[in-house]
Amino acid sequence: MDKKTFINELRQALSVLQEEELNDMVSEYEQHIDMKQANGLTEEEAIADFGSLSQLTAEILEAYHVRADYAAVQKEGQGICHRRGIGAGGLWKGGRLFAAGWKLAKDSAARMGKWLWATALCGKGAAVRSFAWAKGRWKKYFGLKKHGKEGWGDMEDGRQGNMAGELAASHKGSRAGEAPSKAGACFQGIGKCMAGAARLAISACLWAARILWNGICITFAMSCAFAGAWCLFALGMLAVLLLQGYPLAGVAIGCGGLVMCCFSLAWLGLTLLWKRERDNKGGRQRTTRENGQIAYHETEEGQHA
Amino acid sequence: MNAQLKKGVLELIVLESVRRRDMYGYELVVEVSKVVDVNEGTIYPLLKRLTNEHYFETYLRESTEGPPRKYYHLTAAGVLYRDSLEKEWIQLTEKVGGFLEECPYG
Repeated sequence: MDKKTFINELRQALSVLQEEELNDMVSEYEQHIDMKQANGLTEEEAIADFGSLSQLTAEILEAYHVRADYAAVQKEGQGICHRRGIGAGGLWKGGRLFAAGWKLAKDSAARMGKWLWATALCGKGAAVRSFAWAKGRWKKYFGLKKHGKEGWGDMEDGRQGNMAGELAASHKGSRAGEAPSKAGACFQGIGKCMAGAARLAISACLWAARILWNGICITFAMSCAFAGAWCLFALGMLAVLLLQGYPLAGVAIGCGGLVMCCFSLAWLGLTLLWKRERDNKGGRQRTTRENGQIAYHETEEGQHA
Repeated sequence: MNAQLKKGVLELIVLESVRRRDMYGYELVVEVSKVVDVNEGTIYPLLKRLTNEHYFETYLRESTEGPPRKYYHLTAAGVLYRDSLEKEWIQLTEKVGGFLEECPYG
């Protein structure tokens, strides 16, 4: 067998390989034959040293984990396809159906994503409005505003004046006038103490609740961030192994998803932190509009300042 | 020599040869043929398999005698694999040698 025939038969037997790999293997044998010829052998003698061509190609295919009888199996498979009426046309139709199904799935996923986002925005707006209403009612009933404290004092003065007038009308002399003022002042003081104690207790409860909630959120966020960092490290190692040729693409993709999930949860934990109200001190009042947006208005104190 | 025995040690011989110095295909075939007489054509599939398994790296080097030659270089993973093969070979030869030297009558 001459060199050209040997190379052609080798190409035909290894046609299952990629073009680059096939050319690489063929060039090795060509170079080997050329060097043998340079040492004084003929083409036929050099090729004879390779042994049986079928055994040679079987060993080459085995190096790529390909069956040696790949060609025969492929022909038999095509025969089965023709017998079942699938054929090349059926495969093409199946490919188009798959492409159409994939497009439909992508469109559905995009629409569902938009709907979920809109629902999340509505829910957020409703939650913010509910919280603002509850906060307003809370302050109103427990007198946390300055205007409420002054009204309480005014009410007490009014009561004191009424009591003094009534007592003065029913009793004669300065003694009758002094006793009601002392009782009114006593009641006023007790009332103020109780109101102060209630305000203190509520502030303490709110502070404790805020600390507890923030602690939970921060712990959750830190745990998720730590887990995300570990997953990122694992993703880096998987990327190195993937570059070296190990079949870890699926695991790497899953690990990447875990990284994004963990960091998203950590961000969620940070956004749920309960922050203190600070804007009222600067002469601005913070209100929440119906669409959930937050607006700042100057109070009367800020305007006079 | 029995073909199966030669086939078993061929990998170790190839790895050791490339560990000593980088070689191209024909040079490696000549080197291995000095140790065992094997079919020259079967060396290249073995080199391709070891390259696909990342035990070898290849690079081209210009040659004055013809086209560029593809040289094989042993990777770190190849060194570890070669060491494990050598260890197994030593264990095998010791055990088989000891078995053959045993006196059947005690």
